[in-house]
Amino acid sequence: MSYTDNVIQTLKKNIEQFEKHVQTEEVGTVIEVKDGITRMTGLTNCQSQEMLEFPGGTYGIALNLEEETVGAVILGDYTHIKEGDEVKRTGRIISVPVGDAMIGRVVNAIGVAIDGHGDINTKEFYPVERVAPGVMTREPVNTPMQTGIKAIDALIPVGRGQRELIIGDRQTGKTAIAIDTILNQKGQDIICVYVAIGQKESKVARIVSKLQEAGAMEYTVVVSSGASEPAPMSYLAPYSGCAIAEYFADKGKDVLIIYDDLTKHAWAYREMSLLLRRPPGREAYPGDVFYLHSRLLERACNLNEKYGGGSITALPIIETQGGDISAYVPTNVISITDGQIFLETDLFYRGIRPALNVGLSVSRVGGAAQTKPMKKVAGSLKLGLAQFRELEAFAQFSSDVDPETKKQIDRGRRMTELLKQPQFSPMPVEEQVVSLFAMGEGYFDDFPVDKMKETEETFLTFFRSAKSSLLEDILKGDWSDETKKAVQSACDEWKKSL
Amino acid sequence: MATLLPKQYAKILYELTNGKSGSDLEKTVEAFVTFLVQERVITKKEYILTAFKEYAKTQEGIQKILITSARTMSDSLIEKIAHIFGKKVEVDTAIDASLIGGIVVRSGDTILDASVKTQLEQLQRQLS
Repeated sequence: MSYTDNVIQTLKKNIEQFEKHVQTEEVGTVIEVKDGITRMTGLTNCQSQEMLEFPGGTYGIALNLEEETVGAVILGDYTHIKEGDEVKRTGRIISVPVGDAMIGRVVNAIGVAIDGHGDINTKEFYPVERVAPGVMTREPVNTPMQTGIKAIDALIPVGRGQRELIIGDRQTGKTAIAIDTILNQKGQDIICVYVAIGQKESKVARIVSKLQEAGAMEYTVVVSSGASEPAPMSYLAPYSGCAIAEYFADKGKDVLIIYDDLTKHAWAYREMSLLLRRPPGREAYPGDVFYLHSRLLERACNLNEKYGGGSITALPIIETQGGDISAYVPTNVISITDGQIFLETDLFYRGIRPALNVGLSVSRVGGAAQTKPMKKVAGSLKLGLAQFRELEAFAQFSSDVDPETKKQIDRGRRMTELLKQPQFSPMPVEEQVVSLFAMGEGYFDDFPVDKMKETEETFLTFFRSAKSSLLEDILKGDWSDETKKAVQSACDEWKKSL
Repeated sequence: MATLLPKQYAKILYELTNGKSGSDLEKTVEAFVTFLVQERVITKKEYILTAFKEYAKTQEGIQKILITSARTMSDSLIEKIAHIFGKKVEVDTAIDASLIGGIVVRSGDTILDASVKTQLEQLQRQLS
């Protein structure tokens, strides 16, 4: 009884406190609806990118402000919207909820939970579109972002705050690299944001369950706009994901954001632009398709101490058609990013996985962020591999080659074999270093090429059990002559123990 | 070329005819109708005419407001509300029982919502 009274009292109090006020609203009238696009008259003071409220609680974004009409895209279902419907201004530039409560959740492009675990309790909103941090707020990339993939960490290192493009045909393991990178961030105090743009729901479900299984959802937010959702949602998703990432970066955290993939994003934007009757350009993309991606990727940053010291590392993904990296969108994104990881179908089917093309992949700023031990052991690696590729092609025609060349080819084969790595098995950086060191010093030369994986495994097991303190030193970035000698003698020790 | 909206034709007509009278006016209107035929929009004449009436009113400072209420209002009350909006006001009224009480005034693109229905909705939002 007392409980009911209590409720009644609280309600009474609340109702007494309620202030009546007359609402002033600015409205417009729908004059045209088609394919998720509306044109409206009225809405005199409407801003660009403003949220509009349609009947039935549907929202839209005003994109085209013309002399007499406003063109808007509808977020969500538009079948119930009719000509003559009243549209209200909200006065809000499109924004998404952000907060620590987002971690571990799957949300859609407007920040609404879609994982069935209830509403997300957040208080803050961040605008979806935001001007990127300026020159004075940034500092050069100086800390590594370990992907846990040997081929990448050694040859095309990625630093925190960098934008590294993952590019390749379908089914070459682009998403696999991104997911492995997320898995490797466990215990590194990095927040990951995975943005799925126009992806199959089944694929997103598979990725989420994989992340959960590996305990990676504890530091990951998934933003998903499915293939069945209308184009504006796909258009919005990367910007929403970036806004969520910016919240954490503003708090001084390091954030990793993956856009999977920007090709579908460009398609979604093309669809919207054509329906809004913006003039089409090359490949029917609108004129501002470059700006579409540059303003998004420019928001990746490494902030200096004065601005909290947070960072956003972006790994955009682009899908090419038949390995053509000179198509419109791929060239655009290549020129925006600080390097690319190029994956090839040929290599993939030859069993070289990750199917990384060492020649075409680069990292323009990551070298500065590589740890000292890694820099030392990986220094000559890229050159050696490039030489091997050339010699290998040459050696195919002539059976007898001089011993020196034969040795080089042999070393190259071993190297390629060593850089192979199965999915979902990221490797800590210190283990990568000793493994590459042993390779470089020729400790693996006596083992058959097809047994490289097993050999490496026994080698690392030996190090993990007998030389764990040495591994810790390397992790700290120590590569003094002493450490180097210690590693060398450890390698000798391992060789003898066999 | 994109065709103009009725509102834009109305604007043209207003600018042309403003301040003219007698045979001068007749000639102008004739020229305008020929122009509409050329543009193949003469079939839209009714829309243009409505838009013209509206445009002329706003140009002459006559405001048009629509008062929606839950029940019929007395003339004096309507007069009172209209007076708030200025001197030259043209009032339309409508009845919408779903408002429960209070009034909603629409003037151009702005809506002043003082209905019981909206206030109840606000209260619901505050309590939840």
